[in-house]
Amino acid sequence: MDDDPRPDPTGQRLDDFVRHVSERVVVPEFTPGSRPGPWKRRRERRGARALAVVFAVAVAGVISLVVVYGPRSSRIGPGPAPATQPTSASTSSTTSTSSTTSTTSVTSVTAGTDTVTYEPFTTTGIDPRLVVTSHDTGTCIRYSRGATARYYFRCFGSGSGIYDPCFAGPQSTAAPLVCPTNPTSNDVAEFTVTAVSSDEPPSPTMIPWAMQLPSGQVCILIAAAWSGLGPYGCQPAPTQELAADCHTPEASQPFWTAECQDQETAASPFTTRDVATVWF
Amino acid sequence: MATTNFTDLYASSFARLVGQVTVVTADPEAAEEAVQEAFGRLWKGWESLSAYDRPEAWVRRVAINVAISRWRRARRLRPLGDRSWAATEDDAVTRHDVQSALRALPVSHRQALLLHHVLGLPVSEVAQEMSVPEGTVKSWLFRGREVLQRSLGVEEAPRG
Repeated sequence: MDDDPRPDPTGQRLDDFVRHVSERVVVPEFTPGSRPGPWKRRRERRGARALAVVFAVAVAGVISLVVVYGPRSSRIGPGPAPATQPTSASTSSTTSTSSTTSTTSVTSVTAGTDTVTYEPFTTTGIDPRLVVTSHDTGTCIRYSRGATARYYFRCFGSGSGIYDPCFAGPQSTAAPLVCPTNPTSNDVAEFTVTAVSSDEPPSPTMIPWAMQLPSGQVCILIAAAWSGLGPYGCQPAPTQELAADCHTPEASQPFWTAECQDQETAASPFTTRDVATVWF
Repeated sequence: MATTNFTDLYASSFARLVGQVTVVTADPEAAEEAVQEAFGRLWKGWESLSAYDRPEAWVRRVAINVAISRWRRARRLRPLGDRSWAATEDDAVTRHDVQSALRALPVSHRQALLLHHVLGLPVSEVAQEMSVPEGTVKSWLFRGREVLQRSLGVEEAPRG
């Protein structure tokens, strides 16, 4: 439980770093209305660069003159041509609040929590009831959790997006993966895999990639946890009951339970909630 | 008078902003240039921008964008933060180790760390600011912290 704000040593180190840098900054003069002071140094640098260019051009010109008008023996006749000054180039996801029976199969239904295997593919390809809302391309890492013997993919898109989990169909990574962001929505992203960089060692525990609380709120495993928060991030609830982050659910009977908090701050207490559905 | 307000803002926030943007650039000089550029843009548009609730936040955002944009143009030449930088003795332990640790992180992770851990924005606002899903931000923060903890030998409080 996280009843109190925890000390955050990493954040503290960043704060110290910012303060440390700030204290050593000499604030340059700013003169509104004219070219402001802060540019002075850069302007000086540019001036120095310009001088260097002029100098280089002048040297090149002199060399050219020497080459053209210098002693004939250095320009004609056998032997190597006279050496000229070398020029150096400075090179410098997703299924909405519906029952999603189209894309998932209930593997076991108890009087308590539903355990669902998310299956976005049919034998012929992506389930036609899914709606592909975006496409991306990039590399993925394959991983599995516990005894499910099911592979998931964590994929890194061409932009800044991370897609996790993604699912492979019958053609494995030769065909685009399907990446949901919410198992109760039919919207998914398609992900074309350029390379599978590595397999992560399987996680010892079988944990769902998503769960739904009785409030209807869906919580997604985001593989991120710190200072007692996460690793499940919950999306806005259709009811007034809110939950920010949840801990990993416990597979108790008849209901799985999860510790969830009301607000996404370390100070917000975690309370035990029943879980309506878990997705693998 | 707008000029006075601008000058006050400049004087009171310049150093702080350079410190903050350095979390993203891992290079104080690059951060300072980016903040200068951002203040120049603020000055040009001061008549309308002064009405903003938080012009300092505007400058910070522009400075970060300027720094990232410059880095993208130059990244074939050097990674962001890979610039020789004269440090004093006392810097070595405190500033350089954090700076080195930051360099090991992608720029997106550094920006998320700055917005969340230094500026205290909630994850939802960081996601909005960076135009990415909240889950992505959380992943970046998680991995960013992991790298920093490892590099700096910081021990986190155990998870509850």
